[in-house]
This record gives sequence, C-alpha cells and structure tokens, in this order.
Amino acid sequence: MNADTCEKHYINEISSLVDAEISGRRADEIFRHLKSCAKCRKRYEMLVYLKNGISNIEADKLNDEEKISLSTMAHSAIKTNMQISKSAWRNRLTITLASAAVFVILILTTTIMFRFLSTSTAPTLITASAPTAAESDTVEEVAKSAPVQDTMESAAPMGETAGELMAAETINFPIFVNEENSYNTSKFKEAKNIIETAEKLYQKISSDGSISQQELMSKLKDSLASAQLNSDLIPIIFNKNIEEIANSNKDEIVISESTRNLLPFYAEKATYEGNNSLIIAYFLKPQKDLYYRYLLVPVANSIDTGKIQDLTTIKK
Amino acid sequence: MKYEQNLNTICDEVLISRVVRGDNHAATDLIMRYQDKIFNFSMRFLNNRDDAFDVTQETFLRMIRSAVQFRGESKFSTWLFSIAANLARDKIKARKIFIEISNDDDEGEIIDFPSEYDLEEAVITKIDGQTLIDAIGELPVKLKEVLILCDISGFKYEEISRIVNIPIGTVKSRINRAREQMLKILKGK
Repeated sequence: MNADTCEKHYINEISSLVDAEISGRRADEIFRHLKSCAKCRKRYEMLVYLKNGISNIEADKLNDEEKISLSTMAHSAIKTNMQISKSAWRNRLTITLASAAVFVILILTTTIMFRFLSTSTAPTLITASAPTAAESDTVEEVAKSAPVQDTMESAAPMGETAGELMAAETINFPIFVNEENSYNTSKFKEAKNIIETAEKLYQKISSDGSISQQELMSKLKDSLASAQLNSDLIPIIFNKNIEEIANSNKDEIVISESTRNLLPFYAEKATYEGNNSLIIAYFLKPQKDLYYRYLLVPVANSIDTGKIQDLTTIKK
Repeated sequence: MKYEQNLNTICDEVLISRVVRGDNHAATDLIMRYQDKIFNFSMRFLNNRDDAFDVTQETFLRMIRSAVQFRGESKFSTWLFSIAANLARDKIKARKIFIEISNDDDEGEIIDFPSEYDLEEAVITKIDGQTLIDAIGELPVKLKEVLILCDISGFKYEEISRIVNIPIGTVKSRINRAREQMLKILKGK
C-alpha cells in the first residue's frame, strides 16, 4: 500500500484509534493495516507515546489556602442564593395576595352592581316556545351524556384517537438518576409517554368494559407509533401465557419473577383475577430496587365476561 | 461524620439537586470532588496559577448560582467542565492573546506528517513533563482545549463535543491536528 492510500484511508483515523474512539470492524481493519505498514505503525506508536506522556504530566493541585477560600466562597454563595430565593418567594406571595384582593374586590363590585341594576329595572314577561326537533335531540343527548361525564371525569372520551390520547394532559414525573450515575432521561421520557398512554387506555376500558385485548394492544401500538416511540418496548411477553392465566382458577394476585428483557427498564408482571374479570398488568420502573414510582402498563384479558372493576378493588 | 460518609456514596446529580435546596454540605462535597480536576484543566489551559484559580473559583460560584438550570440532560461533570471551559476561553480573550486559527473546522484534512525518523526523534528525545506543558501552551486555543479535555481530563469525544459545543467530527479533527502540531513543536525544540 502506498503513502497516498495510507493518508487517505488510515492516517487521520490513527489518532481516534489511540483514543479508543474507533472499535469493531473498522478498528480491526486499521490494526490489520498497521501490521503491514511500517509508517502507520510508527505513527500509531508515536501517538500512543505522546498521549501517555501528556496524560502523565503531574497534575497541578490547589493548596490548602486556596481550598479554604473555595469552601468559604461556596458557603457564602449558598447563603446569598437562599436569601435571594426567600426574597423572591416573599415578592411572589405579596403579588399573589394583592392579585387575590383585587379579584375579590372586583367580584364584590360586580355583584353589587348586578343586584342594583336588576332591582332598578321593570319586571319582564317571560315567554317560552316549544323547542324545535333538532334542539330537542340535542337536549336529550346532553341529558344522556351528563351522568356519564359525572362518573368519568378522567376517562378518555369514546372514539378518541391514539394521537389525541398522547396529547392529553401529562403527568410530571420526578427527575431520576440511577446509582450508576448515567440515567438516560430520553428513555425515561419515552417510557413515561407509553405509560401515560396505557393509563388513559386503561381508563377507557374500565369505563365500558368492551374493548378487546387485541384492540387495546393495537391502540397502544398506534399511540406509540404516533409518538414515534419504539414499539419494541412493548414486551413480547404481553402475548405469552395469557391463556394459561385465563384458565387458572386461582383467585389471587400473582407477582411473577422479574424479567429483564424490557431493558433499560425493570419489569414486573402481575395478574389480577376476579370472578368475572382478569387483568394482566406490567409494572415498569427504572430500577429493580427503587420504590419511588411504579409505572403501569395494563393488558386486559377476558374482559368481555363482565365489566372490569376498578383496579384497586380487584387488587387483594 | 456519618453524613459525610453518606455524601461520598451519592452521585453528583443528586448532590447538585441538593445544592438547589441550599444544602451547604452537598456544595462542599461537589467542590471537593472536582476542585483539583477543574484547577488542573485551567492550569494546563491558561498556564498561570492565579488565572487558573480565578477560573476554578468562578466555575464553582456559577455551579451554585446556576444549579437550578442543571436538568440532567448530560452528566454533571460535562456540565461543570463546559462552565470551566467557557470561563477559561474568556480569560484568554481578556488577555488579548486569543488567536483565531484559519480553516479550523475542515473535515477530512490530509496532514503532512514529518518523516518516521523525525517523529521518533521528536517524541522519544523531547518528551518530559515541562517540555510537554510548554508545547501544549504553544497550541492554538481551540486545539489546546480539546487536547487537554481528551488527554488530561480524560473525556470521550462525545463528552468533549458537549463541553465545547462542537460536532464530534470537529472534535476528532481538532485532536488529530493538535497532536500533529505537538509533534512539530517538539521537533523544533
């Protein structure tokens, strides 16, 4: 191999190879080349030598006086920060109270004005006409839908698309850092979206009990796809052992052994079996030993045998 | 004492969240963990003890004041070093010795290397600590910065990319060029 080929294909990569920033096939290829090319091999050895030399330069350290100075500065800065924070809180409180006072005054003024005006005007004769057919239908529809709304404040409305479900109100999760100090927040956000979608779907199931497992899975996958999430995060085990569990006569909660094939999240499977219903749920949490929040992905089975009760009532 | 022992096992990201709540111990612990690393980085960058201490002090001051802005999107160390790198760059600008290098971001640049003999001669005969420090000091700021972060502070290219806020390809190119210039400087000494 001539010098031009070396320069085009290998020379500029050798520095990255020294830093272990190249791996796999490309690294193998360069190492093979180094065996046959004295110039590149020499280059590699020189850069390794240079890197080691720089890395081994004796580190400069702060002296005790400088360290004390830093520590004092930190205490002072923290104190100042807290004072600023308290001052800001007081200011906010003052503004809030003032706003509330103005609001109350406005309400009172409006009420007094309204009463004054209503007593000063002459009474009018109120006449009522029969509603048109269209209006009548609307009234009936409202009357029908009212009780449902009363009992299902948080439930997703029927016919809502997966995208709309994803756009619904979100839940604030705490920022979490794992013990390896390298938690991937983007994955956490992804899981959060999945869970929120699933929770909303679950609410929908519990409202009418008519959604099938296939429909639920389909909707969940649609939701994930619409949010450009990785549908692989839905574990294959969702579809496993469902028949076995459905045919079981045990009326108890089973928390199975953990499964790690849902990495980076730890998953636990739980089944909730009642007289006429069965829920299989997957609880996700970022780490096995943490208790700060369980995340729920429910999958319902046999739900056509009866209306699903609230999860907490099924839970024994 | 028990509290200090516990702090040692807590990760940086948790400590900085405590700093937001005004925890003095957490701030002190973070400073103890990073003071020498930040100071050494600043020393290699600025080659002046007073300036390096100023940068170190200002870095931790900003860490405390801006703790609430740390969102955990990158590692704490990356965030802290990006503060230090910005301050060190400002320090150099203030000295009015900031040297813009031309064509700095050219990717895929072909470098004219010294001959094998020259390389060997340069590195093997001239490589002692002070000579290397002097040679690093002669590098343009942009090359010096990435080389120090890589070879002295021990960051990976991706982390350097976040700290300096440049693409990874540029990090790779700059480190390559920094080493090339180091060899040339060592050869000339």
